[in-house]
Amino acid sequence: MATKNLKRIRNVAMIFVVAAVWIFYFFPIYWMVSSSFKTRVDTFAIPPKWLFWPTLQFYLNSFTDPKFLKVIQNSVIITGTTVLLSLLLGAWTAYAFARFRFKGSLTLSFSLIIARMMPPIVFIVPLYLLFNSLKLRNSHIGLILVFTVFNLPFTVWMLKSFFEEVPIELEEAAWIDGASRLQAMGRVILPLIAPGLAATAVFAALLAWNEFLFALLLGGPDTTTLPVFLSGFLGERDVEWGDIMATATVAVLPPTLLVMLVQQNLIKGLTLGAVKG
Amino acid sequence: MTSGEQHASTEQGQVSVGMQGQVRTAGAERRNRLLGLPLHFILIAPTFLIVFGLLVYPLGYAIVLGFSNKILTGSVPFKWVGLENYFDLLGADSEMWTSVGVTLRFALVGVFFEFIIGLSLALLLNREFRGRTWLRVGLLVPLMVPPLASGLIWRIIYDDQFGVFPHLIRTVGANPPILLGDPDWALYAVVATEVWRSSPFMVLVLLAALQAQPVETIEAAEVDGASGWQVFRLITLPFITPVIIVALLFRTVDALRTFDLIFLLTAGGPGTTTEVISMFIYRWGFRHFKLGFTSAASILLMIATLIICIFYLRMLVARQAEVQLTQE
Repeated sequence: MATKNLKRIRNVAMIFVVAAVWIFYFFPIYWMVSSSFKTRVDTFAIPPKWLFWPTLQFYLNSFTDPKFLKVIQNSVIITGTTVLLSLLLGAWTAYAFARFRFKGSLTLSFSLIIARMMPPIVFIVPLYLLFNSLKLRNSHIGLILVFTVFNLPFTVWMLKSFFEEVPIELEEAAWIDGASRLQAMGRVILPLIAPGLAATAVFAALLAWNEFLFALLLGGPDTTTLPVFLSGFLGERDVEWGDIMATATVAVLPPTLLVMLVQQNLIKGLTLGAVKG
Repeated sequence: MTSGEQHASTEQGQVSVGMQGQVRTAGAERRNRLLGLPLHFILIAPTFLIVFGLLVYPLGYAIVLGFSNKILTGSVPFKWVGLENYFDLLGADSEMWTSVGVTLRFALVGVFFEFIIGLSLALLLNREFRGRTWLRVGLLVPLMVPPLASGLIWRIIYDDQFGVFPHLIRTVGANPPILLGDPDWALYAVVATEVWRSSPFMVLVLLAALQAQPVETIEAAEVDGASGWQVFRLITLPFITPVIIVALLFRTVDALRTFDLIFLLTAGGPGTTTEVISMFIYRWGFRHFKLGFTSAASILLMIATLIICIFYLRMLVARQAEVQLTQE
């Protein structure tokens, strides 16, 4: 009887712990979404309002604003192209690192990790001057190139680990049938690692979609992405939190949906190099 | 042996016996070349071309600029100043030291709490209980929020007028400080946001390490009468220590990269109390336009990061050697 009570107490304690953790991590998100449905009066209410009559005003504002639509378009174009480019270049490089051991291969692959670790701000001054002289500032292609370069360390290392899981015998079988290495890679290996490829794509998309520093300083009025647009609200004299939170919710939604699709494989990217070595 | 090594040995022309060996050597010469060049070279060329153009070359450019007085607006004639920028930066009265102090406090306090939370939650999630999946999915949420958006969210939570957090403090009868505006509190408010955003990473990494632990060793210890604490201290902890070290290094380097969050939450203020090193560089480069000075600061930050990276890479290489040993 005593042990049964103890067990019950432990169960209840567990529920409290889980609830506390859940609230800590989830409340800010809830607050963002709910604030996007609050009228100005409700947002500034003291004490904060938990129950309120929701308004779609800010979403209607946003989605009828041509400036906002242009921003979404920029973000989608830049993110999409960056993902394609990083996957293409990343897959080639990862394949080379996974299947060939050549002079300098270790140095080169580890130098990519160093590039991943470098604070982006280190590159900002020279890139700014470089982009000015090459007329790449305020251009989609400029941002795509920079985002790709900062995505490549991730994509290469993630894809490398997926390639290494595929036994080489499968490729050899294709070679016997007369396929070249690239054909074997495209027709045999890539379909096998499709889930890994998807996770890598999501990861690259997440980084590009959220990138702020370069988008702010190397971009311009023609390339404003969602994060830059979001930060712009704070410069205004009369901060409209409803607009900000509606825009933030729109910015957070696509990555969240994508991540839910591939969550298991994504952990590999997050823990890049940390667990499996 | 890993497949890479197996293949590497055939690459050097060592023909192994049997059917497989024949496959690997037959036509290898033709298969591994494209347009007359080694295939691997062609495969890595585009990546390293843009890495060179957009990372290595700019770094070289920054080193050169660091010896000049270049100003973006051109208000002062350009001239070479030798090591003057470095003397200014490293001098005893340099503002950089304030920023280094802020960065260290931000990184150490943040990583400390992330680790405590990370390890406790990882141990919790490593057990079977109802709601476990939900908890794990919930943890992913902050990771998906752009640092920028999380800065905005926490600004309304912290807001001294209508924010939820000061309100909660007021309801328990205390008088809350203006969190983001108070020099004594701002940094810790920022750290709390960073812990919210990044501790899930710690949980996931440590959980992955815990789950990689063989069950047999724990069972054997339990059979021998070890208590739960003993199992943790003597078996689990040594097993996950390498991962812990790597995760801590990883997060420390990430703290050095922090920019978006602080840009949005406090922009380095009040005063310079939350000005981490990235904000410092941003301010001198794009508020005061002193690009030469800023480049010198960037180079110092690069060197600091490289030093941490060397530690990290040594761990990584050691681990990879370990993995290969256990596989052989």
